Amino acid sequence: MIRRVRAVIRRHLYDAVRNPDRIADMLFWPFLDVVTWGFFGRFLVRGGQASFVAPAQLIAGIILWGAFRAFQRDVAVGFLAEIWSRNITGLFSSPLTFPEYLSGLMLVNLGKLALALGLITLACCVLTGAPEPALVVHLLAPLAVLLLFAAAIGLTVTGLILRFSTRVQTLAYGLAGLLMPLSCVFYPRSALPAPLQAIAVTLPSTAAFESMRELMQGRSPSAALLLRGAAVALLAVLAAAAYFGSVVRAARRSGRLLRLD
Amino acid sequence: MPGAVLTDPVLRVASLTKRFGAKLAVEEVSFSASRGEILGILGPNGAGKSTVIGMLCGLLEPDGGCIEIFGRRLAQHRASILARMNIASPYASLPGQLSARQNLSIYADLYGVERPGERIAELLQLFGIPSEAADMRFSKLSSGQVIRVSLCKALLNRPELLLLDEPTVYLDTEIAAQTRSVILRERDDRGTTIVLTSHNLGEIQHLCDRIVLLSRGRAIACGTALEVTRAVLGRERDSAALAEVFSRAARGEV
Repeated sequence: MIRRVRAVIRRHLYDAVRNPDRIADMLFWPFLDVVTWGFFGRFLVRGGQASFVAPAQLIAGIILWGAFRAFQRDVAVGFLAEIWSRNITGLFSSPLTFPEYLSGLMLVNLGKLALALGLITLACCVLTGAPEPALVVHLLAPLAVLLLFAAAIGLTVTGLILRFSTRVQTLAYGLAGLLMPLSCVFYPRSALPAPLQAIAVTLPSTAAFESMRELMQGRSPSAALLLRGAAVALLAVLAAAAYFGSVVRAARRSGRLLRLD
Repeated sequence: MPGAVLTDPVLRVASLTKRFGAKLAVEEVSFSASRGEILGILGPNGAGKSTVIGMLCGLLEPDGGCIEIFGRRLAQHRASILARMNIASPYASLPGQLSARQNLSIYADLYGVERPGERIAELLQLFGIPSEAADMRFSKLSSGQVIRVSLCKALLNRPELLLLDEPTVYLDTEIAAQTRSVILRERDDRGTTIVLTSHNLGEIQHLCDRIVLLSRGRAIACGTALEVTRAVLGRERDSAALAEVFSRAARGEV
């Protein structure tokens, strides 16, 4: 089993290294986002139009949201890449199982994300002075909640791709984005209209960004808030895994694995 | 069916049935293949060949019947059976950004191949893939090289059962002949059981010990080329008339 998971990791690592699109998605565009908004924040602070905290929150929000979105996208795009390259038949007529494949896909994307986050945060600290390196460590808990939730969305999108083929591939890039207004990335939940607040409070991403803001403002984040977010994210992963399993069984019955394109 | 009953078969298919909605794609198909046998699945487009291959490699679940490979049911022992077999199909490919060597080394890991570097080098040499081509992006290879790398992938784990879906379809005459000799050598040297589909009747006759003739999802005849020809056309005909058998199957006259 370990060799098969390692094979999936190697397959996507080779692809990441040899594919300029993957490198741009992983490093270049997030870096450009962070630097641009970092300079904007510095301009606001120097002009006295904002305290230091607001731009730092902006940058931390951009980094965490970028990580959330990238992880969800890369899990789904990783599976799409197998369809684009007509590699599905070979992979799943080998002893590889879907749980092994998905474990490899998640692990390789966690590794890529850790590398990208490290480099981007470092560059951000050097170029714009925000966020402070010590604060980055405290942001790991909200980040973990976000990645768990991103895994659930990525798994769901992968299941939808297996069910509806590349007709729904746009979801791989965009589904997480639909949650952005409700996730309160750059503003508190109280800024939302009351009916939307009721929806936002159920999202693990909202819990993560509310915690992030408390941290950035020098307060201890509510453990209950983060734990609730983690629990909901875990439930979402379990539900997504159950959905994915049902789609795989249906695909074996319908023959979709033989003609995915 | 004549010729279908063998002792201790590597592959045994009994009453295999698959339906897609209202369409019965494969109906009560039975055959078997023993160690070292090359079994051809012959039939016109839409006869059910790919559906049968899809079920044999575990990608498609039958609606009825049973597939036993190495004496065990595929549905219950999927991973352990698939580790001992392999498949090549022109409709499957490999990631184009990776080199042939990288792709093969990934599949070597998936199949748990011992000393993968040596095995890959041996296969690349066997199929005449030069080292520089093996390190190029897979998407830059010619269609003939792509097919040959797919065959390398199919032989990586020294399979005991090899499924070959139209193995020479995009190959030029010389490379196709080389590929046929590799298939025969694989059978002769290692006793590999091979199930292959092809539209090339000459190839089927040259390579296969027995043939299963499919038409509209049903197995019309099974046996040697001569047995199949006589089963369809009558006892006075010889195996050279296999083309006529195929034409009749294509017209739905058998």
